[in-house]
Amino acid sequence: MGPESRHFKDLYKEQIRNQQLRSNLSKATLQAVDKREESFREVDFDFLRDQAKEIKQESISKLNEFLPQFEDMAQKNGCTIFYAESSEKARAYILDIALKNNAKTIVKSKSMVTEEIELVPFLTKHGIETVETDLGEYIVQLANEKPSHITTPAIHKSRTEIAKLFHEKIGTEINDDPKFLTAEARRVLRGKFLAADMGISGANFLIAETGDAIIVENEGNARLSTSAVKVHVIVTGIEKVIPKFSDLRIFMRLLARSSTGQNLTSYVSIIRGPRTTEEKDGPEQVHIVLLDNGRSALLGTEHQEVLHCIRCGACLNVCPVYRNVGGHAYGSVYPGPIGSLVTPLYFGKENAPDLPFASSLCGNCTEVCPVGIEIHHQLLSLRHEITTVKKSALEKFLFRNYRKTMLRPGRYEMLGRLTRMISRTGLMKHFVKRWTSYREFPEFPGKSFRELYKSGKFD
Amino acid sequence: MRVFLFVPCYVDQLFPNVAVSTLRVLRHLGCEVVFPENQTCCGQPAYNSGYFDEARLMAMHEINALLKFNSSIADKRECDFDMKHDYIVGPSGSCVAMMRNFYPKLLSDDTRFNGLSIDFGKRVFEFTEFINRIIGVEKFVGELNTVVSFHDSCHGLRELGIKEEPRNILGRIKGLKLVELPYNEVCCGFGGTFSVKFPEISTAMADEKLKNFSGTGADILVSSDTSCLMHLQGRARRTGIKQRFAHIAEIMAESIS
Repeated sequence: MGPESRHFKDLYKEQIRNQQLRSNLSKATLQAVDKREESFREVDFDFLRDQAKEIKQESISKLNEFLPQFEDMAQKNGCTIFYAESSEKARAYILDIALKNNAKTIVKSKSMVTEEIELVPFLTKHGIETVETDLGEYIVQLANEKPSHITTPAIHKSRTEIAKLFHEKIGTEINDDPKFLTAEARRVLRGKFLAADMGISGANFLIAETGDAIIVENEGNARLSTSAVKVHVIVTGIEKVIPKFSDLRIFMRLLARSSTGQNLTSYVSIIRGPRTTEEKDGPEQVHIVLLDNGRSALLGTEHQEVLHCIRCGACLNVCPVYRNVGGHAYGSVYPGPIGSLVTPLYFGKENAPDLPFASSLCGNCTEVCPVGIEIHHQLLSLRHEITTVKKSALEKFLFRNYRKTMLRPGRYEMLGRLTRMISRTGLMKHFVKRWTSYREFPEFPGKSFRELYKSGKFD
Repeated sequence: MRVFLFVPCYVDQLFPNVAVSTLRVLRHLGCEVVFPENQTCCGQPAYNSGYFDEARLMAMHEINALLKFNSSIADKRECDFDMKHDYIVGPSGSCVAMMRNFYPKLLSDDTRFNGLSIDFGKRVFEFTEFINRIIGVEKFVGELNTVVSFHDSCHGLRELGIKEEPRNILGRIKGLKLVELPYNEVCCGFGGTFSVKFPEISTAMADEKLKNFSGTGADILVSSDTSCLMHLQGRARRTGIKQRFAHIAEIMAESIS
């Protein structure tokens, strides 16, 4: 995790000037918002959300029971479990497996956790070609960029930009027909799948009861990355564990609807370990890397519910801040409202001091969250924690004096009168530049309401 | 029915006509309205900026101030708020949400205020909510020939669950036509201190809202929160948009005058 999230204020100013980016984002996110709404017409969102929230509350508050249960079951199924407390440890373990198995080419399906631990650059640096096989991730990898969204990594790019990118990087003709571009990516990636020695994936859910890892996707690339290879490594966060297989009936109805507006994704893979002696195909080894990296520190705190997140991306799509600045402005693999919680909470508040403030607290994120995380209230409580630690002398002074004024009605009234006097000199605009550089300040009335009321001259 | 009028500080200082209109409409609907003069600010700017200690002191002040009608000049009277029969009504979903939803959280550790803030919150109403749920919207009839769009404030909408209430009221005004904004549940970008902390994002959001408003062809953008309107109108004037921005209480007052 780089420290770029510290520079949100610089990053967003650059991004917001990019009209093309904002137009791409606006189109894509509003379309996603509409599709989400449409898909929830036929099911009871509130009911499912409450159920999901209950299951997540149970899973996370009893993680110390469910995680070992999952480990036990997965081991019985023949998987190797590695518990990684940090990015470094996760990366080192995965590299070790690759080297032991003499892997030259790795196919990887979409996983935010692998982004979090910066796995691909690490493996590439060690001479192992690691190819993103999710179309969006593949586009981002070709462009040498980072994903700008949790579920739609190339959301910031228009198809024209993608056509140009494909032309430059893989020599296709310039044609922005999505079907053509997808077919070209498929052609290149098919070769990689056939050559691959190892596959890496994430997991959306881990089932404690059975030891299964569940992967939902739409392109079939995750299915291939996990079945057509000799070695399969699953990298995911410890918070993905849920108690029972039957709990999936709730999450399956929520996840795809929240994220893409589909009733269900095209593929749902249930992975229960390596091939058995009776099976003709499937990987010979399955490793499961369970990443902590700051997660367990949230257990027992008021931020514990942030661990309930199933990474659907709905809060990003509805967020008007995200829509205007894009994912890259956040300087974190986890952007948008949930990212403004995850980033400071996992990687340190000092590394993202502005993110919890980058919200109008409109609450649309909380409204659409399929597991009922009170996202905007969480942002608020992080703001409180940050202002207690961070000493901005001027801001503290201003808030203290504002409070002092409001506790004395006489002083408040006098200050109001004084401000109205100053406003008549035209000097006001110099005091509130951060307002008046962008908008007109309202005209001050001759009298405040309380003055009118006291004089009795308003009716 | 006795109403203790709550007037948000910025309405008091910058938009007195909104408060005057609120008072007129409530009186027109038969309420006895008093304005407790020691009230100042609900403390929301401090709370939303993370300054909980400052906000807590303001919350205590505001509860005390609103529960006591204390008039110094107009009509020398004093009276205490009756928790069973009186109401506190204010023309702002945002400040009412602060008082009803966040005061109890903020004051939960204070032995004097923890219970009081909950009881207090139950007696505090946003203006359009009060007319719909307590007075009865059918008691209101007005007439005004105009075309308006309505902007839902996020706090009114999501913290208080107010959606149909202002629309029901607008529906009681003969000659008034309501044209809904596309994406009317998207935030306008004000967000309190957010508007000055991240002015570029805040105004980019305002521009989207204003574009949608211009598309409706309406004459007036009506809202039940003046803070959104202050931000939108300020941006509109800067970018050359001429339409009117008005609080629903102002439209109601005009429709009965």
